[in-house]
Amino acid sequence: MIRNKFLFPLVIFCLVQISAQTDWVRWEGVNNYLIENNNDIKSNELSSSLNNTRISNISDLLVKFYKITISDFDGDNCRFHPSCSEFFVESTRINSLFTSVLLFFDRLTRDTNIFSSGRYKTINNRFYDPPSDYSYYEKESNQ
Amino acid sequence: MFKIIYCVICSFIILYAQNNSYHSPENIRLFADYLFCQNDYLRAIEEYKRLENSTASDTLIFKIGYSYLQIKQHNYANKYFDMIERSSSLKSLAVNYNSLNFFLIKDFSSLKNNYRLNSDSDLNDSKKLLLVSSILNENIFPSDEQIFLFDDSDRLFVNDLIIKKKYPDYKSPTVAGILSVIPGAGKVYTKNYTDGLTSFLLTGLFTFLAYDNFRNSHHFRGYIFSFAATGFYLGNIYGSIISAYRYNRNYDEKIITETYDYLKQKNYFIKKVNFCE
Amino acid sequence: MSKILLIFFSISSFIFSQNDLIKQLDYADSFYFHQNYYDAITEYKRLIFFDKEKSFIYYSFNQIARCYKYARKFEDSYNFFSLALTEAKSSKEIFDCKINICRLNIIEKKTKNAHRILDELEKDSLFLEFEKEIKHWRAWVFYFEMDYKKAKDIFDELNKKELANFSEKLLEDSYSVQTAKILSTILPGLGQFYIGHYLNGAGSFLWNLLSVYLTINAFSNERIFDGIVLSNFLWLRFYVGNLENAEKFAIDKNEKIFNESLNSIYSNFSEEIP
Repeated sequence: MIRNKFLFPLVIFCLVQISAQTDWVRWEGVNNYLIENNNDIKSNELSSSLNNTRISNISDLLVKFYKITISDFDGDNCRFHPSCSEFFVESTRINSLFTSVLLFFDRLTRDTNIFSSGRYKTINNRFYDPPSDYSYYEKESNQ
Repeated sequence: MFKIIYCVICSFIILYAQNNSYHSPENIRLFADYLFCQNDYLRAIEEYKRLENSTASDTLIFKIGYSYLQIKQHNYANKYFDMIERSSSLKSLAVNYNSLNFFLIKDFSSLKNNYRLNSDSDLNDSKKLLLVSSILNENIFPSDEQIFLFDDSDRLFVNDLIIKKKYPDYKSPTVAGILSVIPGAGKVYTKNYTDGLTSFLLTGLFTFLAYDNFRNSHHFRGYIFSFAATGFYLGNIYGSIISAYRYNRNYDEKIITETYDYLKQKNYFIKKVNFCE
Repeated sequence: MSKILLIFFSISSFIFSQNDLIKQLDYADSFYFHQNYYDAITEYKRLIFFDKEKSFIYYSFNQIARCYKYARKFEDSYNFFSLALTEAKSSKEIFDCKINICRLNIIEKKTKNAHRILDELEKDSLFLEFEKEIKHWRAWVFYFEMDYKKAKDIFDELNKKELANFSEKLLEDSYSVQTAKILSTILPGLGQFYIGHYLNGAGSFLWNLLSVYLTINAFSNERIFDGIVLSNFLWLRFYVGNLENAEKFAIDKNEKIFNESLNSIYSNFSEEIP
């Protein structure tokens, strides 16, 4: 019988792995196991808020106009997720327009600051920096 | 005669085979214990539940509760820990684990209740958890006598925690707002040094550009640049205030995560049970 | 007489205990075939637990790994195939385990790992008889690397016409990222046209035209500062954006074609897929 030289560490690794099972919720088989399920949370979180904006006020209209005429053509410039314009749109949903403009300028400052990197979580190589972090009140989910 | 013996043997074999079946209560228990020790908790629970009706014992119920706790089904864990009889030898352990259960979901009032309702059993471990969580949630600090409940190393940690909560290193939003009259100073105050510098430079640059353009009577550009300068300036003030709030929030969160991390190392002050020897 | 009876008794009890294992095996298999994979794993684990002779342990590990695979829990699946590998007795069993691990790597697009495993198998003199199978999976690795040309060649060599045709069709459908980028470098927007994003291509072209015009205008009027600012912040930005878009569209389109192909693979070639 052939014995791989990696076999021993592999077995140890597996034993450790098995003792740390993740089968702690019931699950079911997947219809087509070759294809990754697109409904998982991660992709939802990453979907751009600009692409499915419903135009309800003037700032949305401006942002949509910006998106169609400029943003689509000028490349990938923002280090953050959501990008600066998305940040503005999402901010108008939870803050007043004036506050959102102030927050937008604050965000531009942070975007220009090339030294700030340690503070943020990263998602898909972007710094995660949503407007909900920038409010007076506590975040709703405290987990 | 031979026929009778034959019949006896046959029936014996059938009986034997049935007994040996892997779905008999005894075998289910063996298998469930095996799964339990493999940390395959959900499957273990399902197996234990098959036994629940026929041979329910305190150990079994405790194991189900413990498994639910491990897979973070806190409601069910609570239900099973509560089911254990007062007279049982596992009662105090179950109450302690139930305290842990409430501590993990940060349900402070239930934790208190649980302690009060079961005050007759030996609950030193729960008491420790209760003290820590009242420091965290209510800023109620234990007396010196109570601190001596903890071991030496834990006492150091608890004292440290009390100091952190009594004299928190908060930054005042008002001060941040007032300081940021000088662009960026508020951010420096909340320890975002590079952000402060950037804010100062940006506001300065756009103010200069606006001034320069007005002087050379490029009025349109002048207005644009002064709009940007005003925006950056006001944004800097508002951002500094928010930054102070964020600083305080992060400070609190950091204390909480540090505490939970430390407690996790110490198994939350609760005596470990080992069913898998 | 009593001796005979005793022997009879012990033999039959032995048979019955063996029978229990087989009963358990069938029970577990029935869950597996009804695609109730979670419960199937429980039953296979029960089988492993009571199987003191370890006669079904290889099979059970293998089946558990398969269950995990069909639920896209590849990490667990990988672990159990590795465990099965430790229990494998014949070279056929070892080969199967390794190939299964390789297939997991293919699905997860860890193509480097997959190539490495296949290389090892190819070098090993023990697995000479499985040469064709190794080649078959090599083709699939190329396929998942979107290198359809190489995949097609190997499928052709193995005389698997349907798969070869399938890869050839994909080869025709997919776009070259390199070409798109080169086209966009020469003329902004051309790469997008090549891929079929006409509106974006036209927009890119117009923005670049405008910013080049503004830049040249500024320089020719000897407004050097304006010229530098415009060229940096306007023209360069749109030019780079145009290149990025061309590349992104090409990659996205290829991904889309690839993903769509997976669906038809799954329904058409259920036997020989990773």
